[in-house]
Amino acid sequence: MAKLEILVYPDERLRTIAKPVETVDDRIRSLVKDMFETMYDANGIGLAATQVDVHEQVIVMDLSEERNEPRILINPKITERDGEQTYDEGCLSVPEYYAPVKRAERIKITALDDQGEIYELEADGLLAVCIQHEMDHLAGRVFVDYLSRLKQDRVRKKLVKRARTA
Amino acid sequence: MVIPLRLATNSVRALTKPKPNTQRKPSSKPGTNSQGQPKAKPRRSKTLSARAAAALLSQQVIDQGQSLDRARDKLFEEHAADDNDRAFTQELLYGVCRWYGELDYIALELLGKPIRKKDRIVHFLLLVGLYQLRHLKSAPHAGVAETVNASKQLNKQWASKLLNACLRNYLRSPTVVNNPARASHPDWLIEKLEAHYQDEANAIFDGNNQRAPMCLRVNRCQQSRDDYLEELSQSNIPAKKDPHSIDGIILDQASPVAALPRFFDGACSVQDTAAQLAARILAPERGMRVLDACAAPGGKTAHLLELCDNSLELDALDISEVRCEQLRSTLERLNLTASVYAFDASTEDNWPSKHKQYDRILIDAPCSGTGVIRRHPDIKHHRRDSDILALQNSQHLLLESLWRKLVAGGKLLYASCSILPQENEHQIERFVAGKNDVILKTIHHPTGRRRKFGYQTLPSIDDMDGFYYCLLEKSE
Repeated sequence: MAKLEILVYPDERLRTIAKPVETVDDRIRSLVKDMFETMYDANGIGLAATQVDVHEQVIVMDLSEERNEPRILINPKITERDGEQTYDEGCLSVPEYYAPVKRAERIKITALDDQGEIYELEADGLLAVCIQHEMDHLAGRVFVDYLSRLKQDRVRKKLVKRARTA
Repeated sequence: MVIPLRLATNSVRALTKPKPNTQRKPSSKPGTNSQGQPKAKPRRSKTLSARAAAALLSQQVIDQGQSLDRARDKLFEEHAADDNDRAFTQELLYGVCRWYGELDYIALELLGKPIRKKDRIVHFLLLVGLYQLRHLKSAPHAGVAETVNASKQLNKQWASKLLNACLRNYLRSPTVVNNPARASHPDWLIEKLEAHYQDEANAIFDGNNQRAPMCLRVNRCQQSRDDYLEELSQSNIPAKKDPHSIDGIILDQASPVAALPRFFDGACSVQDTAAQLAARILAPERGMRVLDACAAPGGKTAHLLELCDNSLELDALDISEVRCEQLRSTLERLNLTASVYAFDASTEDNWPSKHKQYDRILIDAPCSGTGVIRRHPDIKHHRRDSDILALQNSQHLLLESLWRKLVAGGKLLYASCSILPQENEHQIERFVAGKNDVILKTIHHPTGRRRKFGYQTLPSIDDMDGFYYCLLEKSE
């Protein structure tokens, strides 16, 4: 197992659109393992492969307090969505910044698990927020894209400065 | 994704049960997380009653010049409320903006002397109360009591007796205002409309102060209008066909878009009948090069594409980058493709697209918005007489420079949501005067009034927003 490096906004590689996984094999399972290790280490609740510079549709998540409810989403697709909710989101690629984002309240998705089996999932609340947030990464989007230009500029400057001084 | 740590250590499951945005955070160590880093403030969710919220918002819109949409969205973001509360807040807010002239007159008469400036919020709360008594069918005494209660939420307890007295006095002997709809328009607009429309002006004032129905445009690429009507009725959203637009549906009652079937997958868009007619008048054909010169937020852009099964070489321009973002997300939701450029279409240099000439051009001109006051009552409070000249100037520049981008035999539709002739037929008259390659086309419009140049609809009177259309062809 290995911890991976997380790309930090405004890194252009976060804009890459991820390709669907063709076969869920040992290579993918090992990526999933590494992603979990990376996510747990950074205290995140979700991580998309895009954030570790792998541009395939793989997401890992764990919303539990005990960190014992791992979820794996491979090639996820949203089939239904409704409602609206606003939630203070943060992102491992946008360190120490939180801002409210409006998203669908309930979604239904299909995805593959780490055995390549397709499953369906209905989600609401935080789980729905997290799935939409991570799926955005796979499409090359970051949650700050939803904020005003002013706020986006502020975050960008802050993080560029942080990278320079680090 | 990460969440502020305080949320993570308190039960996450509790968050997923009720709506997270209504969640009040349980108390825990404030200020720092376990690593001692400063952290984001959790969202506050102080609840405001609809009346208090409407008073705050109408003050922001009318006194402080904020846009109604923006002020409302911001408040709804910060304060939790369910859909019913929001709908009622909105009803009150729109009502006060629509009838401000009338309500303000009554309020001043009841008060005797105006309320001090720093307590203006009380004045607006009184307007909210009066609007209910005057224009809504709610029980008067409940309306009074709730309005008085709202003063406490706004930290103006002292005003409760004053509000109570004013509202009860009004109930005992209602003040009558002559022609209240006219009184609720700014003087410069009254003057312009009466000068041009004469006897019809009063009907326009009334039309501007009516509530507009919620109109949808069905995305033909995805389903027929009949199919979508069927889906709406299955979702218990009563609706009927728009008699004037063959892509249109009119809802019996406004509904949040999230409740509309497959809205986020692009099944339909919200758009007034008048705006829906523009794309069909321009009538692009598959494969054509089309320019939408002032495209954001993209309603008409999308409609042009929907009419041609998404097979157009369409360049969509808008001067504002922020609005281009809206445009992109509209297209993305509807699954349509166009090249979007943040660019001022009236400038000649550095044209952003590879296309230099177009078969069809739509100029949905920047204008006073005087035709859509029923949907945006804040226009009455924000637009000034002096804006009109500046707008006329940019409209003229757009026409002149884009005409050169039209191929011979191509068509250009000049449209605006204004009912002022200065922005419409006078504009075209001036444009046509010096040219010999302009052919004025006849169009088939269900309710539009034919003018010497172009066609005009009037708000509510013609069953839609006030809109102007003039279709021009470039001779070969």
